[in-house]
Amino acid sequence: MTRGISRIIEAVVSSLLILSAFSISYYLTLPPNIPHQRSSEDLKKFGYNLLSSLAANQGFDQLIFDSSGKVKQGWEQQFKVVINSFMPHNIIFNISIYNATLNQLGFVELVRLNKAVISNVVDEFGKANEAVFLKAGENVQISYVYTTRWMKVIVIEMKLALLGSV
Amino acid sequence: MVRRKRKGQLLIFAGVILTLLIFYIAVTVHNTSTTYQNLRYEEVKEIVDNFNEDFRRSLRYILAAMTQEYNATAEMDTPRYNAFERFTLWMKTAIRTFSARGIQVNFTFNKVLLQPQKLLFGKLNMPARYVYDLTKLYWYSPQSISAISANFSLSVPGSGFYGWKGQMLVLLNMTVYVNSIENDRQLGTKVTITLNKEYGEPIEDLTAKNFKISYFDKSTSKWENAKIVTLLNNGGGNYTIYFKSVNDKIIDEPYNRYIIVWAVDNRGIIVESYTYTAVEYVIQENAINPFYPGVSKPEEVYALEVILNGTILWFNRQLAFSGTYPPIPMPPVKQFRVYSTTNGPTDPNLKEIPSQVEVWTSNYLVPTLKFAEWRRRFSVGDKLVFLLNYSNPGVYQQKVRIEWLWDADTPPPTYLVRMNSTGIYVDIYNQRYTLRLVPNEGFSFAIDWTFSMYYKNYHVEYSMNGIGYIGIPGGYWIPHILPAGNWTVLVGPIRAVAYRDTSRTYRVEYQNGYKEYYDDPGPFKHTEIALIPYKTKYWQLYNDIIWLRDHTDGRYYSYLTMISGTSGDQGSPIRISHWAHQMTDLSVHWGTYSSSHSTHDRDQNFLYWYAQYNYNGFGEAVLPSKGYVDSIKSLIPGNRYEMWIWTSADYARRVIDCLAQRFDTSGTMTIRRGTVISWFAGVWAYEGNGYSEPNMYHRMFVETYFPTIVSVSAAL
Repeated sequence: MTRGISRIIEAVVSSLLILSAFSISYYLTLPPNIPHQRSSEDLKKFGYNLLSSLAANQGFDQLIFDSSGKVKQGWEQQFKVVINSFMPHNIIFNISIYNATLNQLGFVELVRLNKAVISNVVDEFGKANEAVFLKAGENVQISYVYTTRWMKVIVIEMKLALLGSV
Repeated sequence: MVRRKRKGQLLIFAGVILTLLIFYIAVTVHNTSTTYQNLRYEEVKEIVDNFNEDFRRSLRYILAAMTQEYNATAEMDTPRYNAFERFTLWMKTAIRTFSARGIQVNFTFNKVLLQPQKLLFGKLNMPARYVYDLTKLYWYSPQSISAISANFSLSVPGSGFYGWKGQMLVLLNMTVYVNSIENDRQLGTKVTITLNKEYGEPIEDLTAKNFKISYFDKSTSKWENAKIVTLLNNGGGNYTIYFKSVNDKIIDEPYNRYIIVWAVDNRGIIVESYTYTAVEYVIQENAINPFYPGVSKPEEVYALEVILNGTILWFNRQLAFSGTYPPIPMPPVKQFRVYSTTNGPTDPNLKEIPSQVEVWTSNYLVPTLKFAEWRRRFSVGDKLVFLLNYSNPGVYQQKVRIEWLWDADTPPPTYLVRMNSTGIYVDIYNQRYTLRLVPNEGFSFAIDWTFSMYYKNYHVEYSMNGIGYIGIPGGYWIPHILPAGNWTVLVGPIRAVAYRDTSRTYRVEYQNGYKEYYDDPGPFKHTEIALIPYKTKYWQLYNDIIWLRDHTDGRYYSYLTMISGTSGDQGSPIRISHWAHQMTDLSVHWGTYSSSHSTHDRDQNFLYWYAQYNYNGFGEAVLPSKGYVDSIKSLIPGNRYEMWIWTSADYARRVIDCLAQRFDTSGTMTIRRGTVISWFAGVWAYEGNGYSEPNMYHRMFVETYFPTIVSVSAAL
């Protein structure tokens, strides 16, 4: 009787060990945070593709500069409209564009080109609403280098976030 | 008891082993999964794509901007500097931007072969062409290339991505098929062209707007833009262009074959091609070998000038030739190099000879302040000057090849002539003699000279266009009037020029002492040009006078007077001791100077040289042209011309006056308004010890014996 009970206890302990191992392994074998990883990648791919297609068609030259290479007045609004037209409704963006120059010491200085905010989430003060980005589940930052026809090197910093991804 | 214990432990032991196995598998799978997730492949790919695309884009724009700047300025240093500046900006911006993403980038400029050595059209030997130092432009030949290249290596250590090495090459290559050029009676001249970009990819999207063709218009004697009648895109980057003259006319043979083609592709990159690569002349000297056959003539060096229409000038006179000249094209002037034979036209060795391009007025008569400006294209008014040597015994013909180099990085020629300003004087040193100019107004007093030529240890002064005389206590002051005005001196690599073009004159009067006046306008307008070639024994002098009003003065009119001797060298052995001049029967009349005031010779039978020399290694001579002699003998009616050789009362100075009006105190002379006097001459320095050198070389300066052109051809 005692011997049978011992056997049963041993078997139960062994089974529990194996079961707990399976339980823990299940969590280990699951890809960590699959939706998170995928959406982040997709956002970056989307952002780069958008900037790349604009660059391929000289979109930056046409949107920002006039035919003599000078920065257009109020180009930010037009730029925002164009970017907005490519954006799915659940993606928010905030774009800053910098003109790269070399200072006297030969270091690169980035001078911000856009005087106005280029974003589809603007607060009541006309600034990009950072709170919305903070609340969004996914945030990605993309840097893109573009050389214009007039040999200006600009750096586009684009922040994207996917609303409702959490 | 022991047995039971063992059996129970076995089950638990088996369970532990299985558990460990499961954990091991789970951890391995987990690691594999997380490693895959951490590769972040997608972002690296996108960043590298951005890098690649914009690198290509920036190189394309840098090359386009560089070709456009060079095409506009004809100067390479600034476009190359700008190209490096632009590249540096892009490189540093890229490094700054991408390094924030964990990317490491390095850039290098490797030497990249663009095309191997080849024989173009079966005739033109083209060496291998490379791109290095970021960009290279190979223009001005039937096959032209604009190229830019840089190498990079890229690593993303955070993703285990190391050592991706890449090379970016952007180019435009144009070939103009020279043999395809032919005239069509209706459509005009036909030419076939091929355009490729990097990796041999044909350029298919060009229209007539992408091309410009220039041809040499014989009627205007300059390069004109042709009218492109039609352009056929034959596919594969091949285009056929039909073009006519600017007046919509067929361009005659052979000028239809001398064309310049520019192409700019839709990326903005320019190339420039010429259908010929050189012009070759055979030039014959007629001044010495016919009279001294087989004799060495080391000083027979001509500073010849080629102008845009291909003609060659000596003393602004076209060398005689009965055929058609290929025009000289219009690359940046720094591209020109001149080669000549040394042992006659069959000599296989062509050696580079000193040359430079000078900028004169459009009629080629007066130099401009841009005299030796090399940041420009060869154009109307430009003279390509080169020094052609016939020194070897018996050599009377030489082949001359004028080439325009293909490499746009070709530097301008180095300066061989030096100019010094010493005190109030301007001295021009040609490595053999120094020509001193009369000081600017206000720096000298009682002037009686215009030039002074220093050679070895002595010098002779030259008074040019001296007119009239004034009475002074105990004698006369000669001349009364001289041309005045400050000299403009321009120095080029192999020839300097000093010139004046003004109506200012200088007048000396004696009223209780010498008084000097500058009259503007004076009685005549005058243009004087002195050309000082590198390392020759001569300088060239042009004088053009037009009298603005009737002028009556004492009887004395000198063209070019030699005066030597100063207050400090009286009795010195370095002084001139002898005079000589050529007679009209080509014999020589010579004599010695005295140590006191006296006349040694008054002679109307003078001809093409007069000289002062000693037997201590010094001599100088004036070598007048035929125009000089003819003019001086016809200016004043009544045969009043004369060569007057005399020793002055002041310091026993030695003088040879070559006079249109002999010095005569018995009356006056009047020069009429509108009288034009135009002459040129050479002035020669030598080692003295007689007069053999001026006697031998003087024909170089006499029109009848000027060089002639035997043949001219354009070379592929």
